[in-house]
Amino acid sequence: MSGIDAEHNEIIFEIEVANLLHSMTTTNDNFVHLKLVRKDVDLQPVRMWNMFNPPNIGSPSVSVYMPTLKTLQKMITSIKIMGAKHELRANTKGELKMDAVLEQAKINVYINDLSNLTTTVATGTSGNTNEAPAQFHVVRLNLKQFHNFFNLIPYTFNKILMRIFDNRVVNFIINEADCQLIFYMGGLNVD
Amino acid sequence: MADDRDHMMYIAKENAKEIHQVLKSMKFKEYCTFKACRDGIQFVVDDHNFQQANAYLKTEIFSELDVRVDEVRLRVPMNILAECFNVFSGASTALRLTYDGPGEPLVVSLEDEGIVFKCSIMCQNPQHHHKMYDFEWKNENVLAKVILKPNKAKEIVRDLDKTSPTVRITVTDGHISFLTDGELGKIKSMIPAHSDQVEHMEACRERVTFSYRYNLIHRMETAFLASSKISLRIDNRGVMSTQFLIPRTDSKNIFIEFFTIAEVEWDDG
Repeated sequence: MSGIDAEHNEIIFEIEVANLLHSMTTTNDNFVHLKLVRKDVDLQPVRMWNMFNPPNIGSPSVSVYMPTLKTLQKMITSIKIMGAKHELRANTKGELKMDAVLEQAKINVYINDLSNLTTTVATGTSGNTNEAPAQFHVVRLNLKQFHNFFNLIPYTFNKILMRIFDNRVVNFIINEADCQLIFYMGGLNVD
Repeated sequence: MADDRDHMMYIAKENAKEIHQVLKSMKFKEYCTFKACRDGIQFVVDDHNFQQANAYLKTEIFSELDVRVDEVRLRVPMNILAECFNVFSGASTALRLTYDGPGEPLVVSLEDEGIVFKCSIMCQNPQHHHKMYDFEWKNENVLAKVILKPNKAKEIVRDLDKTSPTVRITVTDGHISFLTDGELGKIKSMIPAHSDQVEHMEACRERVTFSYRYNLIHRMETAFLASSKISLRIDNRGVMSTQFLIPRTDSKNIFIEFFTIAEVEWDDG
Protein backbone atom coordinates (compact mmCIF):
# COMPACT_ATOMS: atom_id res chain seq x y z
CA MET A 1 0.00 0.00 0.00
CA SER A 2 1.50 3.38 -0.94
CA GLY A 3 2.52 5.59 1.96
CA ILE A 4 3.42 2.68 4.21
CA ASP A 5 6.96 1.41 4.73
CA ALA A 6 6.95 -1.77 6.78
CA GLU A 7 10.75 -1.96 6.73
CA HIS A 8 11.16 1.38 8.57
CA ASN A 9 7.84 1.14 10.36
CA GLU A 10 6.73 4.48 9.00
CA ILE A 11 3.57 5.89 7.49
CA ILE A 12 3.67 9.26 5.73
CA PHE A 13 0.37 10.92 5.02
CA GLU A 14 -0.93 14.34 4.13
CA ILE A 15 -3.78 16.03 5.95
CA GLU A 16 -5.32 19.49 5.76
CA VAL A 17 -3.83 21.63 8.52
CA ALA A 18 -7.09 23.47 9.18
CA ASN A 19 -8.90 20.20 9.86
CA LEU A 20 -6.18 18.95 12.18
CA LEU A 21 -6.09 22.22 14.10
CA HIS A 22 -9.83 22.32 14.42
CA SER A 23 -10.01 18.82 15.80
CA MET A 24 -7.30 19.62 18.38
CA THR A 25 -8.88 22.79 19.63
CA THR A 26 -12.40 21.45 20.05
CA THR A 27 -11.38 19.00 22.75
CA ASN A 28 -10.73 19.72 26.40
CA ASP A 29 -8.86 16.46 26.89
CA ASN A 30 -5.09 16.32 27.44
CA PHE A 31 -4.72 13.30 25.19
CA VAL A 32 -5.83 12.94 21.61
CA HIS A 33 -6.27 9.59 19.98
CA LEU A 34 -5.57 9.51 16.28
CA LYS A 35 -7.04 6.84 14.09
CA LEU A 36 -5.87 6.76 10.50
CA VAL A 37 -8.61 5.97 8.05
CA ARG A 38 -7.51 5.93 4.47
CA LYS A 39 -10.38 8.03 3.17
CA ASP A 40 -9.57 10.92 5.60
CA VAL A 41 -5.89 11.23 4.74
CA ASP A 42 -3.77 11.12 1.60
CA LEU A 43 -1.06 8.50 1.90
CA GLN A 44 2.14 9.70 0.26
CA PRO A 45 3.84 7.23 -2.07
CA VAL A 46 7.32 6.13 -1.04
CA ARG A 47 8.93 7.71 -4.11
CA MET A 48 7.96 11.14 -2.74
CA TRP A 49 9.29 10.58 0.78
CA ASN A 50 12.61 12.30 0.11
CA MET A 51 10.72 15.55 -0.16
CA PHE A 52 9.88 15.32 3.53
CA ASN A 53 13.38 14.67 4.86
CA PRO A 54 15.11 17.51 6.68
CA PRO A 55 17.40 19.36 4.25
CA ASN A 56 21.03 18.28 4.23
CA ILE A 57 22.77 21.55 4.96
CA GLY A 58 25.88 20.55 6.87
CA SER A 59 26.93 21.68 10.32
CA PRO A 60 25.81 24.98 11.78
CA SER A 61 28.25 27.88 12.01
CA VAL A 62 26.80 28.90 15.33
CA SER A 63 24.21 27.53 17.76
CA VAL A 64 22.81 29.67 20.53
CA TYR A 65 19.74 29.59 22.73
CA MET A 66 17.40 32.48 22.09
CA PRO A 67 16.29 34.90 24.84
CA THR A 68 13.00 34.34 26.67
CA LEU A 69 10.12 33.79 24.32
CA LYS A 70 7.80 36.43 25.75
CA THR A 71 10.40 39.17 25.34
CA LEU A 72 11.29 37.96 21.86
CA GLN A 73 7.71 37.75 20.63
CA LYS A 74 6.90 41.28 21.73
CA MET A 75 10.02 42.72 20.20
CA ILE A 76 9.61 40.94 16.87
CA THR A 77 5.96 41.99 16.70
CA SER A 78 6.91 45.63 17.27
CA ILE A 79 9.63 45.51 14.63
CA LYS A 80 7.22 43.90 12.18
CA ILE A 81 4.60 46.60 12.85
CA MET A 82 7.21 49.20 11.96
CA GLY A 83 7.59 47.44 8.60
CA ALA A 84 11.19 46.30 8.51
CA LYS A 85 13.49 43.82 6.79
CA HIS A 86 15.41 41.72 9.27
CA GLU A 87 18.91 40.44 9.75
CA LEU A 88 20.14 38.09 12.44
CA ARG A 89 23.77 37.85 13.50
CA ALA A 90 25.14 35.54 16.14
CA ASN A 91 28.61 34.59 17.29
CA THR A 92 30.10 31.85 19.40
CA LYS A 93 30.60 34.20 22.34
CA GLY A 94 26.87 34.02 23.05
CA GLU A 95 26.12 37.38 21.47
CA LEU A 96 23.14 37.94 19.22
CA LYS A 97 22.40 40.98 17.13
CA MET A 98 19.18 41.64 15.28
CA ASP A 99 19.26 44.45 12.76
CA ALA A 100 16.30 45.72 10.83
CA VAL A 101 16.05 48.39 8.16
CA LEU A 102 13.07 50.59 7.45
CA GLU A 103 12.61 53.42 5.00
CA GLN A 104 12.96 56.05 7.75
CA ALA A 105 14.81 54.26 10.50
CA LYS A 106 17.18 51.47 11.39
CA ILE A 107 16.95 49.20 14.36
CA ASN A 108 19.75 47.45 16.23
CA VAL A 109 19.13 44.95 18.99
CA TYR A 110 21.98 43.54 21.04
CA ILE A 111 21.70 40.56 23.35
CA ASN A 112 24.55 38.89 25.13
CA ASP A 113 25.19 36.17 27.61
CA LEU A 114 23.25 33.58 25.63
CA SER A 115 23.92 29.90 26.15
CA ASN A 116 26.12 28.82 23.30
CA LEU A 117 26.17 25.28 21.92
CA THR A 118 28.54 25.83 19.02
CA THR A 119 31.31 23.18 18.98
CA THR A 120 34.94 24.28 18.70
CA VAL A 121 35.13 22.53 15.35
CA ALA A 122 32.24 24.21 13.58
CA THR A 123 33.51 23.81 10.07
CA GLY A 124 30.35 23.41 7.97
CA THR A 125 31.03 24.29 4.39
CA SER A 126 33.21 27.24 5.30
CA GLY A 127 35.95 24.94 6.54
CA ASN A 128 37.23 27.63 8.85
CA THR A 129 38.60 26.13 12.04
CA ASN A 130 40.48 29.30 12.96
CA GLU A 131 37.43 31.47 13.27
CA ALA A 132 37.45 34.00 16.10
CA PRO A 133 34.65 33.58 18.64
CA ALA A 134 33.67 37.21 18.16
CA GLN A 135 33.04 36.77 14.43
CA PHE A 136 29.37 37.09 13.64
CA HIS A 137 27.52 34.74 11.32
CA VAL A 138 24.73 36.45 9.49
CA VAL A 139 21.45 35.39 7.97
CA ARG A 140 18.91 37.77 6.43
CA LEU A 141 15.33 36.73 7.04
CA ASN A 142 11.83 37.41 5.83
CA LEU A 143 10.42 39.21 8.85
CA LYS A 144 6.87 38.09 8.23
CA GLN A 145 7.85 34.40 8.29
CA PHE A 146 10.10 34.99 11.29
CA HIS A 147 7.28 36.73 13.12
CA ASN A 148 4.67 34.13 12.14
CA PHE A 149 6.77 31.31 13.54
CA PHE A 150 7.62 32.96 16.84
CA ASN A 151 4.14 34.28 17.34
CA LEU A 152 2.65 30.84 17.29
CA ILE A 153 4.89 29.27 19.91
CA PRO A 154 3.18 28.92 23.30
CA TYR A 155 5.03 30.41 26.27
CA THR A 156 5.43 26.93 27.74
CA PHE A 157 8.05 26.23 25.05
CA ASN A 158 10.73 28.51 26.36
CA LYS A 159 14.06 27.07 25.27
CA ILE A 160 14.59 27.70 21.57
CA LEU A 161 17.89 26.81 19.95
CA MET A 162 18.88 28.83 16.91
CA ARG A 163 21.45 27.49 14.45
CA ILE A 164 22.83 29.54 11.59
CA PHE A 165 24.22 27.57 8.66
CA ASP A 166 26.95 29.34 6.82
CA ASN A 167 24.87 32.51 6.27
CA ARG A 168 22.31 30.63 4.12
CA VAL A 169 19.79 28.97 6.36
CA VAL A 170 18.69 29.27 9.95
CA ASN A 171 16.80 26.71 11.91
CA PHE A 172 15.09 26.85 15.25
CA ILE A 173 14.76 23.76 17.42
CA ILE A 174 12.43 23.35 20.35
CA ASN A 175 12.83 20.19 22.41
CA GLU A 176 10.03 19.19 24.70
CA ALA A 177 9.58 15.98 26.67
CA ASP A 178 7.63 14.14 24.00
CA CYS A 179 8.28 16.02 20.80
CA GLN A 180 10.72 18.10 18.86
CA LEU A 181 9.82 21.01 16.63
CA ILE A 182 12.31 22.07 13.96
CA PHE A 183 11.67 25.08 11.77
CA TYR A 184 13.90 25.84 8.79
CA MET A 185 14.06 29.26 7.20
CA GLY A 186 16.04 30.03 4.11
CA GLY A 187 17.95 33.28 4.17
CA LEU A 188 17.23 36.06 1.69
CA ASN A 189 19.91 36.85 -0.87
CA VAL A 190 22.32 39.52 0.28
CA ASP A 191 22.03 42.61 -1.97
CA MET B 1 23.87 51.57 28.59
CA ALA B 2 27.22 53.13 27.70
CA ASP B 3 26.72 56.62 26.34
CA ASP B 4 29.16 59.50 25.98
CA ARG B 5 26.48 62.06 26.98
CA ASP B 6 27.88 64.57 24.52
CA HIS B 7 24.67 65.21 22.60
CA MET B 8 22.61 68.22 21.64
CA MET B 9 19.79 66.52 23.47
CA TYR B 10 20.04 63.75 26.08
CA ILE B 11 16.95 62.52 27.90
CA ALA B 12 16.78 59.54 30.26
CA LYS B 13 13.80 57.95 31.95
CA GLU B 14 13.00 54.78 33.85
CA ASN B 15 9.73 53.14 32.81
CA ALA B 16 9.47 53.87 29.12
CA LYS B 17 6.06 52.18 28.99
CA GLU B 18 4.32 55.40 30.09
CA ILE B 19 5.38 57.12 26.89
CA HIS B 20 3.88 54.32 24.82
CA GLN B 21 0.56 54.87 26.58
CA VAL B 22 0.70 58.57 25.71
CA LEU B 23 1.60 58.06 22.06
CA LYS B 24 -0.99 55.31 21.63
CA SER B 25 -3.64 57.81 22.72
CA MET B 26 -2.77 60.29 19.97
CA LYS B 27 -1.73 58.08 17.10
CA PHE B 28 -4.18 59.38 14.48
CA LYS B 29 -1.80 60.80 11.89
CA GLU B 30 1.32 59.53 10.18
CA TYR B 31 3.66 62.08 11.74
CA CYS B 32 3.98 63.81 15.04
CA THR B 33 6.03 66.84 16.04
CA PHE B 34 8.44 66.19 18.85
CA LYS B 35 9.57 69.21 20.84
CA ALA B 36 12.17 69.26 23.61
CA CYS B 37 13.39 72.13 25.74
CA ARG B 38 14.66 72.51 29.27
CA ASP B 39 11.08 72.46 30.61
CA GLY B 40 10.36 69.02 29.22
CA ILE B 41 9.12 67.40 26.03
CA GLN B 42 5.96 67.67 24.00
CA PHE B 43 4.39 65.52 21.32
CA VAL B 44 1.96 67.22 18.92
CA VAL B 45 -0.26 65.50 16.35
CA ASP B 46 -2.26 67.74 14.05
CA ASP B 47 -4.61 66.98 11.16
CA HIS B 48 -4.28 70.61 9.99
CA ASN B 49 -8.04 70.98 9.74
CA PHE B 50 -10.11 70.07 12.74
CA GLN B 51 -8.07 68.58 15.53
CA GLN B 52 -4.78 68.75 17.36
CA ALA B 53 -3.48 66.61 20.20
CA ASN B 54 -0.71 67.66 22.57
CA ALA B 55 1.04 65.64 25.24
CA TYR B 56 3.19 67.36 27.82
CA LEU B 57 5.87 65.57 29.82
CA LYS B 58 7.63 67.90 32.20
CA THR B 59 11.30 67.73 33.20
CA GLU B 60 10.45 66.26 36.62
CA ILE B 61 9.23 63.06 34.98
CA PHE B 62 12.67 62.27 33.62
CA SER B 63 15.73 61.10 35.52
CA GLU B 64 17.84 63.31 33.23
CA LEU B 65 16.99 65.97 30.71
CA ASP B 66 19.78 67.93 29.03
CA VAL B 67 18.86 70.09 26.04
CA ARG B 68 21.72 72.32 24.93
CA VAL B 69 19.74 74.51 22.53
CA ASP B 70 16.60 76.59 23.10
CA GLU B 71 14.42 73.96 21.47
CA VAL B 72 14.71 70.74 19.52
CA ARG B 73 11.82 70.35 17.09
CA LEU B 74 11.49 67.31 14.84
CA ARG B 75 8.84 65.75 12.62
CA VAL B 76 8.86 62.05 13.46
CA PRO B 77 7.02 59.09 11.87
CA MET B 78 4.43 58.21 14.48
CA ASN B 79 4.11 54.48 13.85
CA ILE B 80 7.83 53.88 14.36
CA LEU B 81 8.12 56.19 17.36
CA ALA B 82 5.12 54.72 19.20
CA GLU B 83 6.16 51.13 18.49
CA CYS B 84 9.67 51.73 19.87
CA PHE B 85 8.18 52.29 23.31
CA ASN B 86 6.15 49.10 23.00
CA VAL B 87 9.08 46.77 22.32
CA PHE B 88 9.38 45.60 25.92
CA SER B 89 6.46 44.75 28.16
CA GLY B 90 8.05 45.43 31.56
CA ALA B 91 7.73 48.56 33.65
CA SER B 92 11.47 48.58 34.30
CA THR B 93 12.50 49.46 30.74
CA ALA B 94 15.16 52.18 30.79
CA LEU B 95 14.95 54.81 28.05
CA ARG B 96 17.52 57.09 26.46
CA LEU B 97 16.55 59.68 23.82
CA THR B 98 19.41 61.44 22.06
CA TYR B 99 19.76 63.85 19.16
CA ASP B 100 22.86 65.43 17.69
CA GLY B 101 21.52 68.11 15.41
CA PRO B 102 20.16 68.63 11.86
CA GLY B 103 20.80 65.67 9.58
CA GLU B 104 21.25 63.31 12.50
CA PRO B 105 18.67 60.75 13.60
CA LEU B 106 16.59 60.83 16.75
CA VAL B 107 17.93 57.79 18.60
CA VAL B 108 15.60 55.89 20.90
CA SER B 109 17.47 53.36 23.07
CA LEU B 110 15.75 50.99 25.44
CA GLU B 111 17.17 48.38 27.75
CA ASP B 112 15.37 45.65 29.59
CA GLU B 113 16.89 42.61 31.30
CA GLY B 114 20.16 42.93 29.46
CA ILE B 115 18.65 43.34 25.99
CA VAL B 116 19.47 46.61 24.26
CA PHE B 117 17.12 47.91 21.57
CA LYS B 118 18.18 50.95 19.56
CA CYS B 119 16.17 52.68 16.87
CA SER B 120 17.70 55.53 14.85
CA ILE B 121 14.85 57.49 13.26
CA MET B 122 15.47 59.91 10.39
CA CYS B 123 13.30 62.94 11.07
CA GLN B 124 12.17 65.93 9.07
CA ASN B 125 12.24 69.61 9.84
CA PRO B 126 8.65 70.46 10.79
CA GLN B 127 8.98 73.99 9.45
CA HIS B 128 9.22 72.61 5.94
CA HIS B 129 5.73 71.20 6.30
CA HIS B 130 2.41 72.54 7.48
CA LYS B 131 2.59 75.08 10.26
CA MET B 132 1.15 74.04 13.58
CA TYR B 133 -2.32 75.50 14.06
CA ASP B 134 -2.65 77.93 16.94
CA PHE B 135 -6.12 77.57 18.40
CA GLU B 136 -5.76 80.91 20.27
CA TRP B 137 -7.40 79.41 23.29
CA LYS B 138 -8.41 81.97 25.94
CA ASN B 139 -9.84 80.91 29.27
CA GLU B 140 -12.06 83.98 29.43
CA ASN B 141 -13.96 82.74 26.35
CA VAL B 142 -14.89 79.40 27.93
CA LEU B 143 -18.66 78.87 27.97
CA ALA B 144 -18.78 75.41 29.53
CA LYS B 145 -16.51 73.43 31.79
CA VAL B 146 -16.97 69.86 32.98
CA ILE B 147 -14.57 67.69 35.02
CA LEU B 148 -15.40 64.01 34.97
CA LYS B 149 -14.19 60.69 36.23
CA PRO B 150 -13.59 58.43 33.23
CA ASN B 151 -15.75 55.39 34.10
CA LYS B 152 -19.01 56.46 32.49
CA ALA B 153 -17.56 58.87 29.94
CA LYS B 154 -15.35 56.24 28.33
CA GLU B 155 -18.30 53.85 27.96
CA ILE B 156 -20.35 56.59 26.34
CA VAL B 157 -17.61 57.46 23.87
CA ARG B 158 -16.96 53.79 23.12
CA ASP B 159 -20.64 53.09 22.46
CA LEU B 160 -21.40 56.12 20.26
CA ASP B 161 -23.29 55.21 17.10
CA LYS B 162 -20.64 54.91 14.37
CA THR B 163 -23.18 55.61 11.65
CA SER B 164 -23.88 59.11 12.96
CA PRO B 165 -21.80 61.72 11.10
CA THR B 166 -21.70 64.00 14.14
CA VAL B 167 -21.96 63.96 17.93
CA ARG B 168 -23.80 66.88 19.50
CA ILE B 169 -22.38 67.70 22.93
CA THR B 170 -24.62 69.76 25.20
CA VAL B 171 -23.67 71.18 28.58
CA THR B 172 -26.02 72.84 31.05
CA ASP B 173 -25.65 73.38 34.78
CA GLY B 174 -27.63 70.17 35.21
CA HIS B 175 -26.09 67.69 32.80
CA ILE B 176 -23.75 66.88 29.93
CA SER B 177 -25.19 64.91 27.03
CA PHE B 178 -23.94 63.26 23.83
CA LEU B 179 -26.47 62.99 20.99
CA THR B 180 -26.04 60.97 17.82
CA ASP B 181 -28.40 60.64 14.85
CA GLY B 182 -27.51 57.67 12.66
CA GLU B 183 -29.02 54.48 11.27
CA LEU B 184 -30.10 53.47 14.76
CA GLY B 185 -32.05 56.70 15.17
CA LYS B 186 -31.44 59.45 17.71
CA ILE B 187 -29.54 58.24 20.77
CA LYS B 188 -28.76 60.49 23.72
CA SER B 189 -26.40 59.58 26.56
CA MET B 190 -26.45 61.83 29.57
CA ILE B 191 -24.47 62.30 32.78
CA PRO B 192 -26.35 64.42 35.34
CA ALA B 193 -24.47 67.02 37.41
CA HIS B 194 -25.30 65.20 40.64
CA SER B 195 -23.67 61.95 39.41
CA ASP B 196 -20.62 60.77 41.38
CA GLN B 197 -18.82 60.78 38.00
CA VAL B 198 -18.98 64.57 37.90
CA GLU B 199 -16.49 66.67 39.88
CA HIS B 200 -17.44 69.98 38.31
CA MET B 201 -20.08 71.15 35.84
CA GLU B 202 -20.63 74.74 34.78
CA ALA B 203 -22.24 76.47 31.82
CA CYS B 204 -22.17 80.24 31.29
CA ARG B 205 -25.32 80.11 29.21
CA GLU B 206 -28.50 78.19 29.89
CA ARG B 207 -27.40 75.65 27.29
CA VAL B 208 -24.06 75.30 25.48
CA THR B 209 -24.33 72.97 22.51
CA PHE B 210 -22.06 72.23 19.54
CA SER B 211 -21.70 69.37 17.06
CA TYR B 212 -18.42 67.60 16.34
CA ARG B 213 -17.64 65.06 13.65
CA TYR B 214 -17.94 61.52 14.98
CA ASN B 215 -14.44 60.51 13.83
CA LEU B 216 -12.88 63.38 15.80
CA ILE B 217 -14.54 62.21 19.02
CA HIS B 218 -13.64 58.61 18.19
CA ARG B 219 -9.95 59.57 17.92
CA MET B 220 -10.03 60.39 21.63
CA GLU B 221 -11.38 56.99 22.67
CA THR B 222 -7.97 55.57 23.63
CA ALA B 223 -7.25 58.66 25.72
CA PHE B 224 -10.62 58.27 27.47
CA LEU B 225 -9.71 54.66 28.30
CA ALA B 226 -6.24 55.55 29.60
CA SER B 227 -7.12 58.54 31.76
CA SER B 228 -8.03 58.89 35.41
CA LYS B 229 -9.71 62.27 35.03
CA ILE B 230 -11.10 64.29 32.11
CA SER B 231 -11.60 68.03 31.77
CA LEU B 232 -13.83 69.16 28.94
CA ARG B 233 -14.15 72.87 28.06
CA ILE B 234 -15.93 74.55 25.16
CA ASP B 235 -15.34 78.16 24.16
CA ASN B 236 -17.58 80.68 22.40
CA ARG B 237 -16.36 79.50 18.97
CA GLY B 238 -17.25 75.88 19.72
CA VAL B 239 -13.60 74.86 20.05
CA MET B 240 -13.49 72.03 22.56
CA SER B 241 -10.47 71.44 24.76
CA THR B 242 -10.40 67.96 26.25
CA GLN B 243 -7.65 67.29 28.78
CA PHE B 244 -6.84 63.76 29.90
CA LEU B 245 -4.87 63.10 33.05
CA ILE B 246 -2.77 59.96 32.62
CA PRO B 247 -2.28 58.25 35.98
CA ARG B 248 1.23 57.59 37.30
CA THR B 249 2.57 55.99 40.45
CA ASP B 250 3.90 59.32 41.73
CA SER B 251 2.20 62.69 41.74
CA LYS B 252 4.01 64.04 38.69
CA ASN B 253 1.31 64.16 36.04
CA ILE B 254 1.20 63.63 32.33
CA PHE B 255 -1.51 65.45 30.38
CA ILE B 256 -2.84 64.90 26.91
CA GLU B 257 -4.92 67.73 25.49
CA PHE B 258 -7.07 67.60 22.35
CA PHE B 259 -8.39 70.72 20.62
CA THR B 260 -11.36 69.96 18.39
CA ILE B 261 -13.20 72.36 16.09
CA ALA B 262 -17.00 72.25 16.03
CA GLU B 263 -19.03 71.34 12.98
CA VAL B 264 -22.15 73.44 13.40
CA GLU B 265 -23.24 75.93 16.05
CA TRP B 266 -26.72 75.44 17.45
CA ASP B 267 -28.68 78.52 18.56
CA ASP B 268 -30.32 78.58 21.91
CA GLY B 269 -33.58 79.69 20.34
